[in-house]
Amino acid sequence: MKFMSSRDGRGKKMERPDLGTKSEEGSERFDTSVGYFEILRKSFETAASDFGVVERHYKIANKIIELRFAGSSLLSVITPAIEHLAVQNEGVVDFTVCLWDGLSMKSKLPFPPWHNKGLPLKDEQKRYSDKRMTIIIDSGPSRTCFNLLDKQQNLALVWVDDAKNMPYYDVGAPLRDLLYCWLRIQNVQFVHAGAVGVDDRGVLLVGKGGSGKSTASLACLLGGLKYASDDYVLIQNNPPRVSSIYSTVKLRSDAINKFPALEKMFKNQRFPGAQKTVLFLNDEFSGKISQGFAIHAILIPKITLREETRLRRASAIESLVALAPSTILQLAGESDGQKDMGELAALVRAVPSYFLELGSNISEIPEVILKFIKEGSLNDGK
Amino acid sequence: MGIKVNAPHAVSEIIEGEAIVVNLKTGCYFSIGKVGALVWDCIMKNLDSADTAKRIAKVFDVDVKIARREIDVFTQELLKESLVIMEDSASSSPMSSVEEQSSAVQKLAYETPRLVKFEDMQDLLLLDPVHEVHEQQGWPWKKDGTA
Repeated sequence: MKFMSSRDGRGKKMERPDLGTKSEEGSERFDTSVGYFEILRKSFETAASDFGVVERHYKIANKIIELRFAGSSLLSVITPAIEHLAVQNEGVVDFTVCLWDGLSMKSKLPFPPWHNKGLPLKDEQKRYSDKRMTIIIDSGPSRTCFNLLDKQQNLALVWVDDAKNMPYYDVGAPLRDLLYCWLRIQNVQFVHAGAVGVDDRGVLLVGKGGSGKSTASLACLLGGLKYASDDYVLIQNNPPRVSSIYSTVKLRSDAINKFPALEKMFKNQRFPGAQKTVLFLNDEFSGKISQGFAIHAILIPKITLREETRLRRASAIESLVALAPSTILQLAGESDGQKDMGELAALVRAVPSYFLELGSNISEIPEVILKFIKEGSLNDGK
Repeated sequence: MGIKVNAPHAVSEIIEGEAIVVNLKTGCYFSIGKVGALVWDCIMKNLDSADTAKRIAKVFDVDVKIARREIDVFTQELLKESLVIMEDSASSSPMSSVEEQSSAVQKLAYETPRLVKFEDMQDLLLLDPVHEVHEQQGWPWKKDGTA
């Protein structure tokens, strides 16, 4: 089977505005990472003063995250995927993220001194990290995004050159790399996996892109289970627990044939030309989107030619092979990889793993998973 | 001359006696069976191939000379995949818990250590590579604006 990246379409040439970025020449000096952060913070404050601030609050893995938008151009890009986690402002905030864009506010930012000049033809990230700061410059043909995290202040700045040019994978999983960096400091592990369950417990669905995670997750949502995610979740060990972060689902365009009940959502999709369809599930299924539950087991979907769906016991190493490479290669840099591997291994040791052999009869998938969760184990003698 | 794990490019975990290793530079990942996983454990503990062979022969049902020969072949594979690199010296370290448990009971069946390679996630690196800028390379600011 051809591997489908979770960011299919990256590298596709798109039109971009002639926005550019401010050159260092004539600009203020930024001798340290903290100095650089302060220069960008001033840019945000200017934008906030000129265009006003919109605040939104979200409870993500039990942390209160405040998003402060200068103007509204990024609001409709960032918030739909996390709307199921929205909370009222009660005054306590664990992490603040300030967001603004370049095109609508005519704000240009200086690249940090270590960033190579020139815009790449494909997306790529440059990450810098010291004890206090992590800086991620994510640039490519469709957009450039600056993410600056001050770990000491639990404060981040996010600048995007053009909010209108954000691709589907960014809108489906907004602030992914920034949240990965901040949450791991809070001992919350970002994981490439889906999750479905009942109120208090459920299963993780793990594996590379194209393995059937999204199909199984969506089938479970339509079959009556609670849905936490199809692609990214947050994990905490001791005891193993999953938290939802994005209430989206990302599917191949021909998946409409498998889910005729969602025809209207497919037709109204936000990125009709994209290689994958992103559906915002909270709009239609708000009562079925879960904020999280205890992890009962790890399931590794495998597409088969059989009609029936069944579970088969998997070893811990088979589970880790399905879970760890896709998570670490997508999210971690070299300095984070070994710690992430340790967290994932702890999870695999703590809960049993099974292959979920997917049959052609999709309606069977939620039945098999629900029965498994309710009975507490697989009656396979193992 | 010994070898050591090519950290931080190679990240690994041993679980239930088997190992997984991910090469963050190439996007390839590898699974290693029980004999190879114990070899990997010995490399992480900085043992040379002679001591590694003795430990393998203590745990598994194999002659120490055969083990030594096959460990050398396996090590070449690890070097080829840049999962380990050469280093100046190697030294002994305490027995692993696996060995301590196993030496008291019947030896395990031996099989030639092999590296099973998976290349199906290299796209993740090719499409969206992460380049880390290390702290000493990042600051202070340089006038020509280059790193």
